[in-house]
Amino acid sequence: MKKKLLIIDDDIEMCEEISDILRDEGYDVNMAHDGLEGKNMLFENAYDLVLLDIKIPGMNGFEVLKAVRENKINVKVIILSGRPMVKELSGQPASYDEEEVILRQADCIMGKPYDIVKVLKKTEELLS
Amino acid sequence: MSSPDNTNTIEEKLKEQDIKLQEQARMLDLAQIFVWNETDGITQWTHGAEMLYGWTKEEALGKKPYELLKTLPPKPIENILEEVYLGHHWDGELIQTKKDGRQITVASGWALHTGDNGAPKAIIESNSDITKLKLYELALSRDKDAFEKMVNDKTRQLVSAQLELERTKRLSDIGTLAATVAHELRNPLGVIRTAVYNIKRKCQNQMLDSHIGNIEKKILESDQIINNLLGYSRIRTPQYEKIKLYEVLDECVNIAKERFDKKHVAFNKDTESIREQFMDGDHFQIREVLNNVLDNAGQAVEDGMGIVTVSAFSRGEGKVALTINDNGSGIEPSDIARLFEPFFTRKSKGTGLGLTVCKELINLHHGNIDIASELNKGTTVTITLPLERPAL
Repeated sequence: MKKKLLIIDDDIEMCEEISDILRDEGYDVNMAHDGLEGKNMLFENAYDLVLLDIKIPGMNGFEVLKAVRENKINVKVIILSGRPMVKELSGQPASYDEEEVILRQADCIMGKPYDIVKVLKKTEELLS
Repeated sequence: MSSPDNTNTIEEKLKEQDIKLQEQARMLDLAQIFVWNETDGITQWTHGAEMLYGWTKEEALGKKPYELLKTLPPKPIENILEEVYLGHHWDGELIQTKKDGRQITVASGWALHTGDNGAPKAIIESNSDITKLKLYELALSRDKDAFEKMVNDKTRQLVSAQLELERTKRLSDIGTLAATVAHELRNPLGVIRTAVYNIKRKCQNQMLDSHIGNIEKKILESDQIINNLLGYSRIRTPQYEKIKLYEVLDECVNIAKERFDKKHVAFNKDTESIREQFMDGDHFQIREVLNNVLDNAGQAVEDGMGIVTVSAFSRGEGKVALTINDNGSGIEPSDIARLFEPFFTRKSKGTGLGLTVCKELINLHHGNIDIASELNKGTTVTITLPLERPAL
């Protein structure tokens, strides 16, 4: 059985490039360009892993992650974000602290521009 | 011949006048007045004068008043007398000493009494004690000074708070801009990076390798620029905590050692004197500055020859000074003044933001950063920081 992956990123080219690699690696890959759409897909289908961007329309990455964890959806989450990571912006407004708490519920966080080889390795690791 | 009636009337009138005169004399006696001249000294001394100075009439008569009362005039007595002889009077303030040794300030009025021929006969000196008044005056003027100082201090504090506020606002604007730009650029950069990976994967063509290698290199460089830009977003009001500068230095020197391991740069430390010293500072910001300066030093030295020396010492006045010295290539004298300008760089891969950020961060800590350099000999960066967070 092929492992089922979902990429949630509003950057269409990004989705295309990654899914291209992941398909060649033998994964079954779907895409969503909107947070709400992505969340719905996660709730309706059994995915093994989701690659989640933070700054996306509809519902942002934090909200998607929060919904997934609160509803005990069994899926691994890798956060892929170009947003400055919390550690890079120490002393940000309070909302960052709350967001950091949510971020800790992810299985892995990678900053853009990420090294795709590392993403592949991490994906494999989480699904093994 | 006058009638007995007339005699009676005159006698009565004389008596009446006598009573009046006596009454006037008694009243006059109450005034704080004495009469004197230069030859005979004090010739008349009223009860009022006795009450004021404590000297009895017997003690006072015949004495020179300025000797008896140790008068301290605003100008020499001779000059005052001259004024009195010419203008018939003088007014002013005198400091005199009472019998019990206490000094008093009096408002003094001198009037010249002349004989029928107009020649000066005596001086009538009338004094009233204004010591308390003078004290009140002094206290008032002191209060006024203190009050003015208080108002000035408060005004200064307000202006400084206002400036700090504007500065914070400006910094947070720059920070937000930098963070936004960084994020927006990282996304497309991520796509490019992944797309390049896909090209490499699918083509497997050695002829393309060097080109692809160049693209990958440039992507990493762009990423570095974005990281530096993010350094700008870290410029914000320091979040003060008690930190041990010694430990922060230790941490940063270790990072630098590791980073320049291949270059065999020797890092020496002379920081023992501040080992137990605490200071108020933002741990992240101080680390950022030190990392930056150490990085510059490591880059400036030659492979295998580099020596970077970090010293720290208390500088008195509640300040600590750090120097980071390298034996590297040095800086052109004409470049020294521009080192802290944003985007000024002589490095092939520099953003020119490193030292700009350093200076901003040190300024936010109310410290100083100075750079001295000699071409081909090396550079010394001196950072001075207050140990305690200054009040606004």
